[in-house]
Amino acid sequence: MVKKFNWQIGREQEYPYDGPKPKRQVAYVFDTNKCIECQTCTVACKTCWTSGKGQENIFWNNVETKPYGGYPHEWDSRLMSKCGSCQWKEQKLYSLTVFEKNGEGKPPVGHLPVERDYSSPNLGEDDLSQMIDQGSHFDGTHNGWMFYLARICNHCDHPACLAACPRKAIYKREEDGIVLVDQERCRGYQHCIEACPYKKVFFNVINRASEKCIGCFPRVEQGDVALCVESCIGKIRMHGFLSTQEEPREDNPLDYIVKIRKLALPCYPQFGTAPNVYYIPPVHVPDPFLEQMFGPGVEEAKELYRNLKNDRQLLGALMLFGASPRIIVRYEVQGEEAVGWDVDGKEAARVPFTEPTYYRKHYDEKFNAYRHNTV
Amino acid sequence: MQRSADDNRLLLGAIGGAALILGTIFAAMFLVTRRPVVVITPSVGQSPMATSPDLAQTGAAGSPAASQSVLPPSILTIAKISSVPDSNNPLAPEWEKIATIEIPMVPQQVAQPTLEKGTVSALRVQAIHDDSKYAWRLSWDKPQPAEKVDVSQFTDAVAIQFPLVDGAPYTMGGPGLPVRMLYWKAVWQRDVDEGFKGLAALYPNAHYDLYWFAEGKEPHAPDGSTDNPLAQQFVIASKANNPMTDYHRRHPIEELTAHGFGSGTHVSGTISRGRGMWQDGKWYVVIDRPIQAGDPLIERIKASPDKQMIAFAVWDGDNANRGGKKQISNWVPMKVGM
Repeated sequence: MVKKFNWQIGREQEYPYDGPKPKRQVAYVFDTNKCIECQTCTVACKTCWTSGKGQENIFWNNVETKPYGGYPHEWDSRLMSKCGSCQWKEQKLYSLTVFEKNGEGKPPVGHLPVERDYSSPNLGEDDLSQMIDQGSHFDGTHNGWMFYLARICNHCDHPACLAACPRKAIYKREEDGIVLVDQERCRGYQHCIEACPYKKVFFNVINRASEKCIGCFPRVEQGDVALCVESCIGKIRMHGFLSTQEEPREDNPLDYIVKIRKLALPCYPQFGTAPNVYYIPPVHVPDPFLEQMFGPGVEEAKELYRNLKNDRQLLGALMLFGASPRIIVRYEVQGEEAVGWDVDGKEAARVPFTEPTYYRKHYDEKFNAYRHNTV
Repeated sequence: MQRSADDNRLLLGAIGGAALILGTIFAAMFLVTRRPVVVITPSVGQSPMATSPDLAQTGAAGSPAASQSVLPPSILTIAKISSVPDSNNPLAPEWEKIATIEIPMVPQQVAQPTLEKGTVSALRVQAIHDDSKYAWRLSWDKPQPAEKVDVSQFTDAVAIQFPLVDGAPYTMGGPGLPVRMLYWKAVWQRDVDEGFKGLAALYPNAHYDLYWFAEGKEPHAPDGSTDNPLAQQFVIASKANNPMTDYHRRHPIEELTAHGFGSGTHVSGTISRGRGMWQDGKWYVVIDRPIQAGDPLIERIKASPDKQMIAFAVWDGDNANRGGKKQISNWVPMKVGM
């Protein structure tokens, strides 16, 4: 075990391996406030990567309804019951991470789902936090709440899957921090599945080996965003890189949203894997639940989000969500537009703060047709 | 009647006392030699070593020469017979005449992830040879076979291990000290016996409609097109020649080489064959090795037929055994009978 600093929990923690940080870290921001759970991301991912034999119940990308949904079933609550309650004091975690809970030299604490836990990928869909009495009506405050949580592999800074593999068949890429299972060396022991807090490594019953989200690395290598990001019709996702070797840059939208302004927060940072999908918390959900899921900083993030219209620099970064199939590594607010550049330094997106409005005449002379907005 | 029952009790007491004394002697022998004590049949039942201290903690065994310094332990003799029975029949009558040694098995607790509690405490081993091959028969108690693999489901398995150089630790070898393993799995045996089971066979009620490579109308059978090149593009482990992914397995033995825990590496084109059969609460597994010039295992046996080493590992699929979660033995001395 070595000591590694985890910025998400504000302290050093135990991890089995030392190693240099990747040159840059692939990362994502998901805006939960905008997700409508259309599952277009899920289908895009599945169509491209996991339509094969043995992958029938494997979803590298899934969208579930919180608080009750979960794929596989109860993936998070089972681990939380094993870990006990977590203790934060301001930004620092005082309880133990999954690497520390079992003691020195032991595998990370985890749980192994069974086949049935994968058989209902959208169990709990649209379920509210509580029953609504008959005759209830909206009176300024909602009587119950739910929100959609889109999930992919977090390509963690300290991957628990990698830590748990006795064969070292899982590795984190130096160039972009993407975590991959070596499909040649894996012997299907499933220790990675047991250890991953997010249950984003899957057992393929036909291959008899484990597999996981590959971060669309063939696309990332070309400078393109992941398929789940490109296909998102609600434009809730941004895909980019966090700076690892230098200070966070104000003109890197990922750095700016995640590290500088802290609008987006990691999912279950208390597990200690330093996950790299960052969520803008849903503003309508009570803080206690959100703090359990996203750690401290929820209230501040909500406040930032509510104030976005007056926060041009931050809003500019959010305007670039879903604006280009290219990964945006640099952005700038220029007057009434947010502009993003790709890895090759080419302009990839130019988005106005206010969508232009066009007025069209009632009668179209060219086509000799009347325009109606009624049937 | 009353008197006869008392006699029985007396007799039981005497046997019990004798067993206790014998057990103490074996335990003392173990403590002195730091080597597993093997019991040669016809003694039946539990080996006294079943409750021995954890062998895995005693460290790696020395070279064959070192093992003879104090109280040489019992030796697995590869009995010479006129003709080794077909390796495809672990229940061949020839095996009944061969002496059995019982190897105490202990949970692997050297490297993470460890097996905390073992469920297989002994392995019964026989070995024979003729002019063309060596064969080992391994048997252990198992109330029900575990032959399916899925998430949280694991298979029964057994392996034998040979050093490739003197001094290789029994713990899967070490840096510069390689070992060779012959590995049998129940799920592979079922693949061979019944054919590879796809989703339709494993989960008869499953329905699936997203095979882009499937032809014709729904419902697309989940089986049948694993070899279709369009289907193959999704099974990366198969494309990468992962030895776990073999839809047309012809024999259930895998050969591996290793130089320490976690380093087990598939050796392609093994010449070993074998078969496992489960009968009346016991597995019987035969693993053979044809005598071929140039084969590293055969050459080592040829070089010093009296000073061989073999070690064993057993996996209980129902106890989530896989990989390092296994029962293991120390090196057991082995010699070729003439």
